[in-house]
This record gives sequence, structure tokens and C-alpha cells, in this order.
Amino acid sequence: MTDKSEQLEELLSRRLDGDLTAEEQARVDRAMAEDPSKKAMADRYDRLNMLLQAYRRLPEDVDWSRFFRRVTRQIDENRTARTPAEVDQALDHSLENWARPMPDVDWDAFKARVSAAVRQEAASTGAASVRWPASVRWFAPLAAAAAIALVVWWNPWSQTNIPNSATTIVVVSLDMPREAGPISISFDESSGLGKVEDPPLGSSAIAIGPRKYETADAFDEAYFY
Amino acid sequence: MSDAAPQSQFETDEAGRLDAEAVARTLKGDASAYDLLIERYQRRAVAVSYRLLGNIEDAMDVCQDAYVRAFKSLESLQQPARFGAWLMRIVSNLSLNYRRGRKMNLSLSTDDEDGGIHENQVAALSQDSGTSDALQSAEVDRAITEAIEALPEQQRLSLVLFAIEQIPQKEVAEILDCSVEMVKWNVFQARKTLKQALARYLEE
Repeated sequence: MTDKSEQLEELLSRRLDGDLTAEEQARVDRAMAEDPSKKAMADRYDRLNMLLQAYRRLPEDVDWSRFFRRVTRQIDENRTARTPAEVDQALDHSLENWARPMPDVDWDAFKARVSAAVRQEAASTGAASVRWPASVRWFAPLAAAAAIALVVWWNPWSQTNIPNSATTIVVVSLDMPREAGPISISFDESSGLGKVEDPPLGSSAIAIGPRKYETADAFDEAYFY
Repeated sequence: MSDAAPQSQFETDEAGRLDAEAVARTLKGDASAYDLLIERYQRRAVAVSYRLLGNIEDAMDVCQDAYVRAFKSLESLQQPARFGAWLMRIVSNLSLNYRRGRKMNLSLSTDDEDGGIHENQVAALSQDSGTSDALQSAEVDRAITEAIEALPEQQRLSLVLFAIEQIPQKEVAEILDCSVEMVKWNVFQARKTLKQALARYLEE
């Protein structure tokens, strides 16, 4: 089979799904009109589709309420088999997955680490990385972490560490730390343009400055001060 | 049946929001919330399993098991809004596993359920006074079953979920953990194979 006829056959298959563009549809129509064998092939696909649609249709007399009762009865058995502590644990686990709530975090230690990283970053205007202790589970929202970095950035005793105090826009990006992974903190000072690039995936950003901040979609939830 | 046709984006988002809400309530201990999820997906789940297994009671057993497993693992569901696709993945996998197990059992038995005539065909045969049509229909059905069973698993699932059950391509891709393009490709390959295998039934 040539590539061309293979392509046409694929179009004939997709035609059954209503998945053709106008251009593709025109190509198929033209091929069927010009070549009876193509029309015959299209007819075979149509008949195949009809056979498949009729294949193992659900019987009409399925007792759905019986099925529902069967399932719910077994679910109830599982539900009651769980102790309240297990239910709590399941809920906690789920909330960790979804909402990433604040677990017990030593915020003073965290602030000290961020502060140290900020000072290091400010001195080098590069990127800083600190190790997060493996013993601490860290699931806090990135925005909250970034806010703490902001507090550190703005607080009176760290102001002197900011290399360019005239900067009006500073973006603080914190890579989402994993349980035992690093926290990377980087700064982008773009006061001249009033615009910054998107942060890397998994990062958050804070913009500081009086100017209108031109944002990409990803920055819509950035914090402005 | 293109992606745009079956469900609007709004409906998809709305269904996802309702699912996420039901999942959250279930995890908080609201017994009625999971009932909503059962009711919402039971027909699709049983239909898919039935297409794969060919026996309604087996399909119901598998789907019951799938619902229970989903309930037990609910807290591990990363995207509660995608409960439907997640459940269908469980149903598909359990159906395939069930089928593999059943095949092994059948190889020790002379009662070849899968190669035989299905329950609805038996009903059709008994009701049809002119049995030749029904027999022909049963023969076609058997040929389709054999041809579909001979397909590679991904092609079979893509065909059943998308081309037969008409689940949107994006959702099928999610269920099968592959790209939409791969779903399209698998469906095409499956149809091409079936067209050849069933050639004698496709002539006018």
C-alpha cells in the first residue's frame, strides 16, 4: 500500500469520527468521486462502523438500582471497616495532595535559611541554593514561602543588603522544594522594563514596585507591593 | 465524534467541578457523595467492561470491584476533577485482568464462553422464528469478537473506548495514559485490521 493510499485510508477512518477538516473532507470526497475502489473502501468502513456500534450493546434490562445497591453495600462495608483514625489519616493525606496545607514548619528556621540565602544572593546577584533538612516535611504553598522571602527582603535589618535599593520591581522566585531537596532562590530586577520573564515552572514570584506591572498569564496571581 | 462534538468545554469543566466536589465530600465522610459518583459513571463503566468481557454479570462484578478500589484509593487521586477518567482506567485494567484470568480458566474447560454465542444472541435466536438471520447475526458477532480479541490491547481499548463507546479522545488518552494522536493512530490501526479480518461481512 502506498503512502498516499494509507493516508487516504486514515482519513476514511477519521471521517467516521467527524474528525476531518474541511480540506480533508474535500480530499476524501474527491477521491471517492474519482475512484470507485475508494468509494467501495469508504463503504466498507461505514459498514464496519455500523457493526461495531451494534457490538455488545448493553442489554436493556440491566437492573441499575440493583447494581447501585450492590456497590454501595460493599462501599459501606469498607467505610465502616475504617477506624476514625484511618479516616483522619486518609483525609489528611488527601488534603496534603490537594491543598498542600501548612504542616508543622519551623518558620524561624525557615526564615533564617531564606535570609541567609537572600544575603548570599544579594551579594552575588546570581542564584542561591540551600539544602532543606530531610527531616522536615515541606508542603507549604509557594506563595506563602515567597511572602516570607518578601518579608525578609523588606525587613529593616535586611534592607541594607539589597544591592540596588532604587530597584522598583523585584521578582523573587522560589523553586518548589521537595521533602529533602534544595530550595533555590533567585531574583530578577527588571525595573527598567517593568516587565519580567515568566518564572520557571513550579516557581512563584513577587513583584515589588509602584509601576504598572506587565504580566503574562502565569503572573496574574503575583503579589504586588 | 470529534473532540469538539460530544461535550462542550463548559460541560467538561462543570462535570469535573462536580466530581471534585463529590470526591472532597466523600473524603470528609459524607456517605452520599460517593453515591453520586457511582450513579454518574455506572452506565459508562459497565458498558465499557461489558464490551470488553461480553458478559453483563462479569462486567458488573468488575465494575463493583473498580468502584470499591477507587473508594479505597480515593485519597491518592491527584486530580479529583478527573475522577471519571481515573475510574475508567481502573475499570479497563480490571476488565483486561479479569479477561486474562478467565482465559486461563477456560483453557482448562470445554465450555468456551467467549467463542460461543452470547446471552443476548441466545435471546435473539429463541425469539426469531426465522433462525437463519439470527444465526448469521450470531456468526457475525462471533467473528467481530474474535477479530477484536486478536487486536493488541491498546488498539482494542482505544477502539472500544473511543470508536464504540464514544468517549472523547482526550479522555481516552487520559485513561490510557497516552497522547490523543496515539489514540487516533490506534483506532485507525484497529479499524484497518478489522476491515481485513471481517472483509466477507463488509461486502454489500
